[in-house]
Amino acid sequence: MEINSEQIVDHSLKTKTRKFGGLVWWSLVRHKVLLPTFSVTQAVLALAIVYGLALLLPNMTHQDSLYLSSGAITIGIIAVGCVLAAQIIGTAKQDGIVAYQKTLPVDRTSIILADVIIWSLASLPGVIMSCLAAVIRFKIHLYISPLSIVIILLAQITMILIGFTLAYWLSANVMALATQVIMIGGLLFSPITYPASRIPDWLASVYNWLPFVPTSDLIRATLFHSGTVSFFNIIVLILWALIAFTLSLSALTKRG
Amino acid sequence: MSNLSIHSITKTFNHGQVTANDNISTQFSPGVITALTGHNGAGKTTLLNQIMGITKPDKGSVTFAGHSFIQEPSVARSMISMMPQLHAPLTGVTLRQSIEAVSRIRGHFDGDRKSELDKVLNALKIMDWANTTGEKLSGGLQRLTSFAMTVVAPAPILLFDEPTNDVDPVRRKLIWQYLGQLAESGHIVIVVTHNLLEVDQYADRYLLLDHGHLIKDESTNLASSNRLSENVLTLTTKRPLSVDDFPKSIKVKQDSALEYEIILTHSQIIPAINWLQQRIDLSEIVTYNLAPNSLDVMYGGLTDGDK
Repeated sequence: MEINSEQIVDHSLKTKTRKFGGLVWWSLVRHKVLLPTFSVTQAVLALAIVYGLALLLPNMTHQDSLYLSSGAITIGIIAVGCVLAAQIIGTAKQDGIVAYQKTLPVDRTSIILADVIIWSLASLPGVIMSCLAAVIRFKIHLYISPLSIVIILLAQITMILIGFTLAYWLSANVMALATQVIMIGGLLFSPITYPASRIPDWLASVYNWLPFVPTSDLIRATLFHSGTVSFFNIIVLILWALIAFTLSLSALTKRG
Repeated sequence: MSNLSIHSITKTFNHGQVTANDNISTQFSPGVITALTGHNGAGKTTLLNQIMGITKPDKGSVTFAGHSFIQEPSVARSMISMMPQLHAPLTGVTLRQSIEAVSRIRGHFDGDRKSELDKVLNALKIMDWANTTGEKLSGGLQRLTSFAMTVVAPAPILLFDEPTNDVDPVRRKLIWQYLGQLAESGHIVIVVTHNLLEVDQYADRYLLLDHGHLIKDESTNLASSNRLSENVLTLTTKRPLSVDDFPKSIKVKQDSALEYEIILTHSQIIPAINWLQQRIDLSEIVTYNLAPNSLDVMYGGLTDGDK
């Protein structure tokens, strides 16, 4: 059998697409058991925010319900991207999956994109459950539009890439700590489930540069038509996505 | 097909304090199974990783078919299939799915895939576990799965890091037979192993690394013929023997308090057997073995023993 080396280095779009499909398929079969578990977890989280946090507010206003509804979606996206994805990728790193992926004949960008697709799918049930809970509990109208869908996708991709960055660059212990800080900070301290006017101005300014509050504001503006769509918030999210993507890529391309 | 050429590869870690390999130059040809041997930490895995493009050497070059694997790591990944030292990631994925995943990622067509998968599963006699998930497989079966993932859509260059570890004797042989077929069909096959008996039996050539240096590079046939000029008599005795107890002019190495290893030329065999017979009659010998020199003994002589 004659082996033609030039045929093997095939850069045609068809071959690249087939290889990328293989990567997505492998990621899907590896995570197929986890995806239903994540859906249940997100459903519980969505109900806990929409129904549970509402119990803390005896005189619920329309604004409060908007914040809780958009907050549930945002925190669900943060939970999947920055916590669950980070932890699963961190485990994959320890199990040698990441090192194995580095030996496969696919470019590093494809490895990241394949996982982003799977994790975006994984966070969809949470978004849907949060929307359903908000509609049932608060009788809120959802404005589903191309823009609101794009914003949700942008938020998902940004949080997932941040999760990947944490997993690729931090040791297992530090990564676990970082994800917990993000989750507790997101749930309790950041103005995601309540207006930013309740915290000091300087702290609100800090949150404006982090990706979490802009995500919440954008979802509220597009999906619930509360407030205006801020281009600054979009740019902040895109910047975080680009930084996280670059860091993830550099972790995967780093050679010993 | 081209040779894989390695020229003056050097790699140090910890700011130059640890030398993984030092000025290694060699070539690997299609059709040849080359075994990479040496102590733990001798630099074998580092060399594989440098060929693969995962580890960047401090200096030197790795070239194949006009491509520099150091400058073009993506080309290296297309040209090489590598079986890692640790188990391939199999958790939650069945044996068949794991192999199929690599076949898909290597861009194989749907039509080819099933027959290729079945061929590998049958050749390694692991079809019975095809639908078992990785975490339920024994260590040996996980190793075989990892091997199958490497050979299912074989690249021109195949690197294996200890492929037969944990594998039962029957399937070890199947692995080596499969490697032989791949070499015959024109692949470059490089195998890291500590199993010198298998090297002796199945590899065409072996490289011996010691503290990052390449100290031996020869055909196993040549090594076998060289070794046949020497023989080894190993003894276990009832009481410790002194140098004066042995016939003069033979070289004795004491392995432990009651174990001795004697290197004999052909002309020394008959006097040594006569001496042995006398000692057996005196009931001083517990066990003995006379055999041609092995790669195992030569390996210990070339490297610095247990260090």
